[in-house]
Amino acid sequence: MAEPYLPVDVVFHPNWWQRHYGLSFDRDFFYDAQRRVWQEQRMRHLLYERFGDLGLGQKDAPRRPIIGPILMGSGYIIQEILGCEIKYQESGNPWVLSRNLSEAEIWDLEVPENIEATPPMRALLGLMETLEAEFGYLQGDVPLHSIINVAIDLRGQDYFIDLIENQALVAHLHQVIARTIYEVAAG
Amino acid sequence: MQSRERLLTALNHQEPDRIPFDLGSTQVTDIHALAYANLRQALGLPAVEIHMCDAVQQLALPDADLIERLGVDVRGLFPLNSHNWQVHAQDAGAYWIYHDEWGITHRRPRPDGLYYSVVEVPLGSPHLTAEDILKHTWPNMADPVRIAGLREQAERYRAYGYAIVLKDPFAGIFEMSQRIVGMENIMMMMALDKKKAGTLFDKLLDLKLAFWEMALPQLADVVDVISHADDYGTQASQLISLAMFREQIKPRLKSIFACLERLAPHARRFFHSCGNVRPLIPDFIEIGVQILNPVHIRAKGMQPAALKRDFGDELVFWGGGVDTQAVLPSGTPQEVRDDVRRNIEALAPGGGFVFSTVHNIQADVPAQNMVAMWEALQEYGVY
Repeated sequence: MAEPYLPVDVVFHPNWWQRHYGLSFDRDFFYDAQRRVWQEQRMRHLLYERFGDLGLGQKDAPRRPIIGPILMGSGYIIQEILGCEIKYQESGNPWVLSRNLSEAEIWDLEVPENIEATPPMRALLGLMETLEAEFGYLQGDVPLHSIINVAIDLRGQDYFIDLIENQALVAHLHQVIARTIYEVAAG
Repeated sequence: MQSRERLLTALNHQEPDRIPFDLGSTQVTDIHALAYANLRQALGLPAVEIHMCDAVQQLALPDADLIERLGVDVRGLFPLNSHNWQVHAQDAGAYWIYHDEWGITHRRPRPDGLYYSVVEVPLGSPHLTAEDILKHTWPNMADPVRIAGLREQAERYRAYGYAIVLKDPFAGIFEMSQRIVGMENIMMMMALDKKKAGTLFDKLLDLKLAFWEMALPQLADVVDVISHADDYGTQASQLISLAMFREQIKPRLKSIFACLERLAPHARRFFHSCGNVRPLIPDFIEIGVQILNPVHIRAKGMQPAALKRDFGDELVFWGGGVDTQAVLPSGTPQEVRDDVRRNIEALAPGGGFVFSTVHNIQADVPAQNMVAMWEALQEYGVY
C-alpha cells in the first residue's frame, strides 16, 4: 500500500552538526575511509536519538560504505578536477573558490587527459577501493554538479557577460565541463 | 595652509603641507550614525542629536566640533533629494517603510536596522514599455527649493577656510535605473532592448541636466568640487562589459561632465564607482573625470601603487586611505595604522591624493580603529 504522504528528507547544515555535536567536515570527512564510515554512522545515530520520533536517523545504525556528500548538499569534485581550489571547512560545506579565469585561460581550458590521475579522483578512487575491499559494495553517489554552476566557478561573474557577448567562449567552456562530467561518470 | 588651499594644491597634483582629509563631505565619504556617535565618545566630544545627510544610508552630517577636532578639510553641500528630504517613514511593525518621490519603497528593520533597502520599484513590470517610462511621474529636479540655503552655507564654510563639494542630486543613471525598474530588469533591457533602456537612461540624464542647469548658475562660484556617483565595478570585475558601458552609459556620462565643465569650469569633477573599475578608468579620464573615488583598494585590479603609477598624472585619488571591508572593521588598531601607512606611501607622493576611507565608515567599525586611522594620518600624512 502506498504511503499517504510524500517522503521527506531533512538535511542539516554542517554548522548545525558542528555546533551541537562537534562533528567536523574537513577534507578527511570526504576522503578518509575510517573517519567517513564512523562519522556517517554517528550522524544517523544522533539524528535518531534526537528526531527518531519524526522518522529521522536510524536505530542501531550500521556502518555503511558511503561515498559523496551524503547528509549534506554540495558539489565540488568536477570543479576540483578542473583546477578550482576547494576550501574544506569544519562547520560548512566544501567551498569552491572561483578561479576567475581570463578569456584566454578559458580558451586554453581542456578536459584533463587522464582524469583518474588527477588528485581529487585519485583520492576518491582510493576511498572507493578501501571501502569496497572492506564491505564488498558501495553506496552513495559522486556529485557531478551542473554545467552552469561549474562554469561560474571557473570563469567567475564574467560568465554572465559572456552569455550575452561571447557565446563562442561559453560554448567552449560548456563543452569542456560537459566532457569532464561525462568522463568522470563513464569512468 | 588653510583647508581650501591644501585641497586645491593636492587637486593640482602638488604636495601641500599635509594630505587633505575628508570625512562627510559626500554620501560616499561619510560615516554611519552609530559609528559617528562612537567616534564622538572616543574623542571625548559631547553626545549630540545626530543630523543625517542621508537618512536612507543613515549617514551622519559631521558636526563642526568634530570637523575642527579632526582637521577635516572639506565640507559638503547636499541638495534636497529623496535621501535627505521628506523622509517620512511609517511604522509597519517589523519595519520602517518609506515611499520616496520617485515611487520607490524603502524599508529599514525596526527597532535598530542599520539602513533602508529598496523593496519595491515603481516600474518593475515585466511588460514595461518606453511609453510607461515617459509617462511616469518624475521628480522635479529643476525646482530651486532643492538648493535653498546652500549658497549661504557655502559662504559660511568658505569664511572658515574650508573647501566645498557639491553633491549630485541623485544616483548615477545606471544605479538609479536599477532602483526604478529593478536590477534584473535593467540588465535584461540593456542586453535585449537597448532602445527601452536608452529611454530610461535619457530620462534620468534629462533630470540630471535640468538640476545642474538650475543649480550651477547659483552655486558654481562657491564650490570647488562637484561629485557624481554611479557604480559599475564589483569585487572581482564589472557589472557590465566594457562594450556595454561604452555604448549605453559612457555617452550619457560624457554629457553630464560636459555640462559640469560648461557651467562650472573651475570646479573639479569627482566621480565615484565602487569595485574594480580599472578597465574603465581610461574612458573616465577621456570624458572629463578628474577625481576618482572611492579607490576600492581591496577589489581586483585596484592596487593603489599600480593605480598611482598608471593614472596618477591625470587623476586625483580621493579615497583608498584605509580598507573598509576587512582592516577597518575587523583589524587591530596596529593593522589599521599599517594599512594607512601603506596606502599613503602609494598614493600621496606628488600630491593628487585626498585621504578618505574606501566608501563610508560602517556602523560596526570600532572607535579605536577610527582613532588609529586618524592618528596614522597625522603621523604619515605630512609632506
